[in-house]
Amino acid sequence: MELSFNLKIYKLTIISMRKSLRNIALFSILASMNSCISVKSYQKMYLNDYEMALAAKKLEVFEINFETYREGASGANGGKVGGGCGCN
Amino acid sequence: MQLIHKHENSNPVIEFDSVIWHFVQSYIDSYTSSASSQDVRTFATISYNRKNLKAGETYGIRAGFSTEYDYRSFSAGLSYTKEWNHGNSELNLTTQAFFDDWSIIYPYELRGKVTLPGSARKSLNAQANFFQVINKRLQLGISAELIQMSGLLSTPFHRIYFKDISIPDIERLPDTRLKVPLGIRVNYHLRDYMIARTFYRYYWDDFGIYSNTFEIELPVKLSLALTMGPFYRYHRQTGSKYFAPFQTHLSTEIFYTSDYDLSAFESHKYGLTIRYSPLLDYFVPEKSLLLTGFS
Repeated sequence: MELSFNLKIYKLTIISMRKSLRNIALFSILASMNSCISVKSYQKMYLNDYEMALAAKKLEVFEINFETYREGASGANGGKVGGGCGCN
Repeated sequence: MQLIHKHENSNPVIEFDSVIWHFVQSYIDSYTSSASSQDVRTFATISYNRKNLKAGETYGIRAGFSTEYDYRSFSAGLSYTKEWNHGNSELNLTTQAFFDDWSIIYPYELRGKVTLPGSARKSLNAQANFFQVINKRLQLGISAELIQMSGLLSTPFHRIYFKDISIPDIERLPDTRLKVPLGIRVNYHLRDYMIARTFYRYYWDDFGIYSNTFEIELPVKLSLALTMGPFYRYHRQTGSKYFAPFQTHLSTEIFYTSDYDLSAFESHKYGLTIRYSPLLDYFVPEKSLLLTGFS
């Protein structure tokens, strides 16, 4: 009886921890967006770095293409999402 | 082989990309699995973009084509981009249409016994991207897409073996499909010599596939010219409601596929990107190499 009660408490704790983690993640994203600052053009040394591009790199396009052939899911990463390939 | 030609003026910009890929299928024994052990894919796009510097708006049109041994595709699209907050925020809206056509090649033993209603495929894509600079080292991009496909969505060369009868058929799938991928990319310049590139995608379609994909890459600048980046990619998807393995489908079903692209699976990809890009050496152009492994 006590064991099942403890298990129930344990499960509830896990669920509550998961919810907390999710909330923390959401809060962090929102907080970081809230803390956006207006970065001047001359301060964009790091942001303009080739590796900081917010898109798939030219080198990755080939990889994305064959992942489109190999997987049922595609898109939202700058690659093809439908059409243009003889695949599902 | 990749050839990229660019002609840029300050405003407007005309860009032309042409690429030829030669695929060679690798195999683990002395037999290749199909006649398509190699193929050549050629594709090219031309785009014209005009930027209004005062309003921070860019309008663009693009057209392209792609050919494979048994496939041809033509595409056309429009795009609109708006920048504000000194270029720290950007919204991009893109729409694109693909008009494709198959050269239908049926499995040898089924030729003359099976037919498909048509060989054309049409895809309409609508995409919204939002980019935001968070601070001097951190930026993110959110992408949402909607893809409506119609026409021949099955692959005509795939055989299906049934549980109840011995005569096989080709893959049969609905003639419409709706796909919705949502992605977020966060890049952080951790140190002067190290960057963290992360990407997450949630995907849903009306074939019954849900997927989660996560990628992380950590490029490290070993010198001004040399960057090496280990990466890891995790992909997990549920199977399509039309998928069943070999000799599991019943011949009374309307739609069926045994293509494992549409099955439930998870994959791990890991590797290393090596990029050599000398700053002031015009005789040695930029070179990149991607080494990958799968499980």
